[in-house]
Amino acid sequence: MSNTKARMSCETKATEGSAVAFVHEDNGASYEGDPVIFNCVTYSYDNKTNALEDISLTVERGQYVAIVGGNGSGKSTLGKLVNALYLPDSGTVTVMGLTTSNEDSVFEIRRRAGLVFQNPDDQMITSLVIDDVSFGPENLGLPVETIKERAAQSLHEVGMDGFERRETYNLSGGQKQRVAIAGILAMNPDLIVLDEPGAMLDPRGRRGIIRVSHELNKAGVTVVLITHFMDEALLADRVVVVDHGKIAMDGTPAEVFVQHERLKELQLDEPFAVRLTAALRERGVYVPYTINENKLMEALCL
Amino acid sequence: MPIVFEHVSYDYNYVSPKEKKRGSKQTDGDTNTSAQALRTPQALNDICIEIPDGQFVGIIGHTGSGKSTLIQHINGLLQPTEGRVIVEGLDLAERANRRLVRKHVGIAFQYPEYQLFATTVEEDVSFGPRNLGLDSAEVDRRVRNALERVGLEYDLVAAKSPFHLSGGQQRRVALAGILAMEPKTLVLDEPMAGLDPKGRADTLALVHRLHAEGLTVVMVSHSMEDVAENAERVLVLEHGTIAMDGKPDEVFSHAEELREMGLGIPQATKFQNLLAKKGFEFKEPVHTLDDLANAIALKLGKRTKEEYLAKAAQVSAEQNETAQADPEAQKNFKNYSAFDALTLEAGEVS
Amino acid sequence: MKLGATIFGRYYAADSPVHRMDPRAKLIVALIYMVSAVLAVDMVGVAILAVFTLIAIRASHIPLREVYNSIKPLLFILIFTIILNVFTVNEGTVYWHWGTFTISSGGFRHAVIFTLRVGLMLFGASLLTLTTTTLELTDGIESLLAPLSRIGFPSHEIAMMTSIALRFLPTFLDEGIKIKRAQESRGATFDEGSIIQRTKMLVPLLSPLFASAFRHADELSMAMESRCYHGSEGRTKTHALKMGRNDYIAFAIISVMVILLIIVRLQITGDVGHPA
Repeated sequence: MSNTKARMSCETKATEGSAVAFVHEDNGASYEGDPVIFNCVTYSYDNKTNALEDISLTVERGQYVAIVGGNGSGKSTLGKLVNALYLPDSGTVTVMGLTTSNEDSVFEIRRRAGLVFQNPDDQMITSLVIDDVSFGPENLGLPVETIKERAAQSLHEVGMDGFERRETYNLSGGQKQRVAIAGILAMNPDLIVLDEPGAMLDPRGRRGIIRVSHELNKAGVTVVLITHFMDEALLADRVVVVDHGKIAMDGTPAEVFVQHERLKELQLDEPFAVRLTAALRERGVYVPYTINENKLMEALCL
Repeated sequence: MPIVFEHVSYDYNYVSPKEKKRGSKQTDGDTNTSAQALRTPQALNDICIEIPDGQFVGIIGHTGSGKSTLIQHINGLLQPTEGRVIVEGLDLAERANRRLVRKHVGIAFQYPEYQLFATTVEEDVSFGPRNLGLDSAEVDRRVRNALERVGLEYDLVAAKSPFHLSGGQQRRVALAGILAMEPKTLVLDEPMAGLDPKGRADTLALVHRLHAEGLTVVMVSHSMEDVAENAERVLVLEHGTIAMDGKPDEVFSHAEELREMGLGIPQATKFQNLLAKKGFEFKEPVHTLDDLANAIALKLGKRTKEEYLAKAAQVSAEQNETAQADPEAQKNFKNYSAFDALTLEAGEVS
Repeated sequence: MKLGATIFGRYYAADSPVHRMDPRAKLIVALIYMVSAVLAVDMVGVAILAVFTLIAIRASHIPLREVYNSIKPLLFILIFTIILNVFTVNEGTVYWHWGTFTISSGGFRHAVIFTLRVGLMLFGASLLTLTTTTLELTDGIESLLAPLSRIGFPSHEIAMMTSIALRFLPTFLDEGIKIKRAQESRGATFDEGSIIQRTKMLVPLLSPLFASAFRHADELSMAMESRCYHGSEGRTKTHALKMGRNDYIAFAIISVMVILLIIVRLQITGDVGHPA
């Protein structure tokens, strides 16, 4: 599978840890190495059962990674660890070369690694769209002019031009999520973590958010999408499947999703093409597994 | 007895005609969240439907089409400004009937677990039966029965606080609270919303089981697959009117119209249409994955791996020849041998 | 479509002199208005109050109907005032008498004046929230309370909490309605039975609402934290507060109103000849 770092055992990883050197400049513009590194991270809510156990995972720069898993698999915990909302019980989370457990870095980490949550309502802090988008930059203490520019630019990037003076309350769920993303973009992040952004939206709103996330990725933002929708994960560069607090699978969507039996075991959805292939094989019609519907059609038309 | 809507219109009373015009324009691009739809319900316009006992009806329509308003008419939470709703022979224009009908019709709103309130599961599920004024033995029987129906073990959960259960279990408890009313009709608004694939499958199976037990089921869903695979009848709502009403086959054959309404068609139907364009012949339209697989299997007959590979190699060789002869075709050259099953299973194809 | 959504605490977007006012000025003017409304004890006083309220609504470019809609849910306060006055004030001709309850002509007069006054005060208060975004309100309150923060008073926190409370008011109202309908679907009745039964019925209504409030609070605090919120320190105030022409005009108008009310009030006490 593609990501060897993630699959390395923790013992090897620990000895090699020093191989990656980070240079962090205080102006925050540049860093070396990978944007997110989980090194043997364990996290527990109640000190009894581990929500995450011994996770080692590296997200590469510019990558679009989908983190997939059922409810309670620990996937959302991953996102909150990146944003320093949670700190690991053991192991380290390094974001843009900064360790989340270092209190002095927390502010900078949150600026550079934005987090979009599931519930659109709970992210609208103010009643006017423009105020909400400005909330982050205001906390950063940026000059008023810069805030105005960034807010306008961010709203444009998520396709919400002209909504500045609208009330957040009266927006649809999908529009609220876009505003939430704009609020993070206004802080000029290098990475965005989307924690089930579409779970509470209708299909149209969900599609819109996913489209925006891909546009951002093309513009150079590293994207981590936490989801249980397979159609969203199919569009990622890389899929990491989390199960019971551990990484169960890691690879390209094609590598992960053709594994019919394994996905069934993990009680995850499968792409349509894989499900159809499985159903055809049950009926004695052999076709190779693929996640690509066009390929499947070609195989059927042979 | 059936559920009957006779020329039901509903108009949210705060809205004057002038303002309504302004509002309806917004509806197209800008949709309400479902919670808002409760306070400012979408209008309904001349709805005439009859749902016979035991039917499984799927309601589709994009956000703001009036689905939520419609279902709240079934148990009298909202009353039509024009027309009549008759459920179990009760005319819901009568206040007393609106109370009676709640025995017969249970409604599960979106995220029903957010209505849980009691300190124990037992107490919460018994809320409905107690409101009906039943004696304690009957209440107890119903609570046990309802929990069993949703697949929860009474002894394990009854004394627990509903707030300490997992999300999926909370939803089951909420559904049990509705089933404890022993309704004949179950109305579900997006029962799978927010659940993971396993939770969705479990909930869908539960709904299916309840329907098999004889309940009339009305299910609002965004998922065309869920509707296609379960409903016997599909209602399509748009701008507060019934745009389509028929068997899934009939409704989903109108792919173009559905798309114009911002709705989709089931993936199986979509796939079938694309296959048909490639010259694959089907006898009849399908809308579920199983039917599609059956139709394809019927057409292709059994085919082993070896046969497939031989065919693939043959086609590949033929294409190779044409490709070499024609430089133009070379560009579009699709090497079928790369589609080799062995490499595929190793996960090489994207 | 969302016109029914006009409720108390909501912001109504428009470009008007009132909208453009400095939130601090607006808060002070509103405060003066509220306090001076107490001076309106007769029909003339109420009329003055009404005229100035209408001027303010007019200047805000908000349709009267919208303002009315926003206070509609609070009308029960008015009904309560009417009942209270009709029964408790005992002046002039007595029409009906039973124990401590008396219906008199004076009671009616009081009821009418009181109701109009409270109604107008609601209009005024509603106008404040209709023309001021929650953030402006936050900034305004914070700035007005700023002198107190020097002695350790959490003026920023209080301002922020007020703003968030206003922001979530409609969300809670939606959820409240949804929970009520869900419980009604389970056979609950909220408008029947004895006081005890009704009070009991509040549990299935309020308990989920509290649970939801906690959930919102939890998620909101995380969302704020993840967007680098860390109190007022080092936080930019986008809306630089600056009093302008509009604000001075508003102060002038409210002063005129207060003076008029005082004059009328003095005349009444003068004419009738008994101390206020």
